[in-house]
Amino acid sequence: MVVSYKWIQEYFDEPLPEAGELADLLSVHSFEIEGVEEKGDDTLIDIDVLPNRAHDCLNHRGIAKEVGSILGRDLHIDPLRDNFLELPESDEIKAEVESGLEDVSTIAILVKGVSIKESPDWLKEKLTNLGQRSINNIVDITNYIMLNMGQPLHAFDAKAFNGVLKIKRAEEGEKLTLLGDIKVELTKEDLVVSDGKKALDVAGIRGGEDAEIDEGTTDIIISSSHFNPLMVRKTAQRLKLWTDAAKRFQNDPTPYFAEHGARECLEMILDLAGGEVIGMSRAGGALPEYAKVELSIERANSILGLSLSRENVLDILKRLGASYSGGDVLTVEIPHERMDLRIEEDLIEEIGRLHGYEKLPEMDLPKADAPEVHKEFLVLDLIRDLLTSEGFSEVYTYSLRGKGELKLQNALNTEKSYLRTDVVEGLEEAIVLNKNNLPLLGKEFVDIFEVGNVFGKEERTVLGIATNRKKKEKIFVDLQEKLEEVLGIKIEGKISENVFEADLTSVIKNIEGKNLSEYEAPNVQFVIPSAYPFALRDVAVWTPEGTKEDAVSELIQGEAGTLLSRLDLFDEFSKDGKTSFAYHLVFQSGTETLKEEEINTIMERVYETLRTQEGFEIR
Amino acid sequence: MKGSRHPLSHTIREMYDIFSDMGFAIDMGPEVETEHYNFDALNVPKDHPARDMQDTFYLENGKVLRTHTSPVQIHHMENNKPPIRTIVAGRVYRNEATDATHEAQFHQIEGLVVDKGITLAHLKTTLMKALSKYFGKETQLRFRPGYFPFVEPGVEVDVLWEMPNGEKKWLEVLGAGMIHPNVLKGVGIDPKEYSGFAFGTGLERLSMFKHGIEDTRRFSNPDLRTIDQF
Repeated sequence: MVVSYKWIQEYFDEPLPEAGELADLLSVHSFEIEGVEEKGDDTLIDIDVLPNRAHDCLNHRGIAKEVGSILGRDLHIDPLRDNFLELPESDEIKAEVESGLEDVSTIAILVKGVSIKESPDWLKEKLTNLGQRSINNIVDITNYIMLNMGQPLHAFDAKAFNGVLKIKRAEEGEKLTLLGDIKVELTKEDLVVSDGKKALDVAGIRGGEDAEIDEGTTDIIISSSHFNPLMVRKTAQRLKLWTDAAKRFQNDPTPYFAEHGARECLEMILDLAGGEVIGMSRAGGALPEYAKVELSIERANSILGLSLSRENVLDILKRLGASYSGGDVLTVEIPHERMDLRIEEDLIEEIGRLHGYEKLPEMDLPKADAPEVHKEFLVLDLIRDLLTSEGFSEVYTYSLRGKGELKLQNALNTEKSYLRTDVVEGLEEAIVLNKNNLPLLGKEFVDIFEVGNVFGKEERTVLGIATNRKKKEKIFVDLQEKLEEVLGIKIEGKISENVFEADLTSVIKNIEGKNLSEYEAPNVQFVIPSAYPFALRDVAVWTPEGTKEDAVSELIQGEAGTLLSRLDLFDEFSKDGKTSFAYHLVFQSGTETLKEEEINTIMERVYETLRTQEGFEIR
Repeated sequence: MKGSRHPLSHTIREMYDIFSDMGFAIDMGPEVETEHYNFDALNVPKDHPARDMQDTFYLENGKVLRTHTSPVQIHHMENNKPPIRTIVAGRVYRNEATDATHEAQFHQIEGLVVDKGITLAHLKTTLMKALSKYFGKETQLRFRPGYFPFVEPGVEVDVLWEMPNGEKKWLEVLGAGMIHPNVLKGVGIDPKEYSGFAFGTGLERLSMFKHGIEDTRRFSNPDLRTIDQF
């Protein structure tokens, strides 16, 4: 919800803190702030209103009330605390709600002789400032009311209705063309605004073309309703029409909104479009009673870890606009628009956040002994410990695959539409991925493993070990024996291609008398691998016997410079009073693809440096 | 040459060591869950807009891929009586497009404490101590109001983080709160007698912060150029 700072200011006599400061206050006490942006002489604040407050805060009045609660200031005008409309009934307008519909109420007001024209500049500006398009005075007024106090309304051309506005279920298969030339087919699960027979509007979502207001319109019906939030939600989901109105109605704003919205809208229409009120009609469920919630001050303190006085708590309740009675246990009457405050814990949250979470004291949990280690965690940790010490690195691969037994209903794509039945495919892919980078890793082979869940008839935890070495069977048997020794349990597994996979179910179930091994956390700052190709060169050099290996590698590194990303000794032997060292040199740049000549030049310098050492000879 | 643990396996083990010192057990649970454990038991009713907060993968057999590790909380509270102190870690799934901060599969860690007299102040102090140990330096925390249906009050937890350029910024690291009484009642714990807190976050996020990893997709990519740095 993007709100205008100037608009919020209209709710207060005294100047508010400047916009950035206000955004900070809101973020610490109320909502996450997505952004603050200056626009002309105004500032727009983008507020992330979550589902718990979407019923009352997707509008300026709601945000202003939050600001008032934080600052301890009253709103000097409040559309939600005004009187209800009292207007005569008329034969020319009758509101109805189909029997059996729950949680629906509606108000219809007939106004004749309005002038449809452009909105005044101040109104256009307010709407366009927030990214809304100005259409005409009537439509703009309904949008303004929604943004101002939260009630989505619709104004219809009265001639489409014939004196009756009825909220009902659509007929199965009923067709309707909505504003914007959107054609929809409806079902009995959809609520519509109708003339008693045919649908003219998908309730709470979007109006139909047949009742659209245009330049020729003189008589209008203002329709202000409360709709069953679940029905609006399901219809909006099915039609994929998440309009501003639908987003609000699905969150169940209080039915009081419809009353106050109707009054605000009528006043503004008479003011800006003229016309004469013919009559008004209400139908549907009665307004709910104000909720009452018991609040124990002691319990509030014992949940928050604070020691607030009764005065502190009463002050916060006042700031919320709640009234109360009682002693240590208060009975709190909740403002009608706060549909989220229904149990004691809800009020405790209000107290905590308005008091300020920065005031929570330091409080340690009582001391407790470390419990016995979880068996699955223990098994996985012992496996990780052993296999990494054997030179194998642990990978995580994707659980979502192109084939399997358990299929997703709503996959991202066909390659990720099943859950894996094994880790074999992922590990084989990992071998391919890493095979070409071995010189960069200073490795001769890809030796990896994964522990993770697979999904056949049931969900199981497995271990997969993979290598692209030649004699893998022997390697797997060797590792299997070592694992069995560490875990104290026999491991069954099978080999396919490059992977040995073992089910860990019985290992986890039966492990006994083992402890976690010593562990030290790595203190590593990650270096992004270069996106550019590397080049591999070898050099072998004879040196006088007794030459230190690190002296040789230092010479090479010193000459090769920063483009040398790895230097690995791969062979060393002595013969006839001489020692041979053989190295892999890996060259790579973080910013470009290295040219052949560039590397050759560096290698020439390396050869030259080695050659000129006493007793050195390039092989 | 020694091989490397996956960076997230490091984070899990580090968290385990930190929390077991504070008396926490660890628990794990299935990745395929029922809607009951993933949503209903966590006070997220069917057809409620709160379900839209997590894009869910549904399976053809009617189950779901867990969208968070919180179902394990429910299993754990069903199988254990208070006092409860446990952490949970594991793989979770969200049906969303992949980018540098989103991945369809990722990993969470969360914690749960239920006992007599547990307060929001306990939560804040516990997290401050645990994160200070994990990051290896005194870490300042801030609570902001947040919304997760299974806690009330609910908070977002920020840490004051020094960026590479020396600037300090509040960055969101966890979601947390006091366990909602509906959740406690649902597992047969009397919320008048017991209270508790819960917290959770992405393991990726913790690892990215600590090690300066810039892209969350690196964790599910079995590329040893990344993994062998750990």
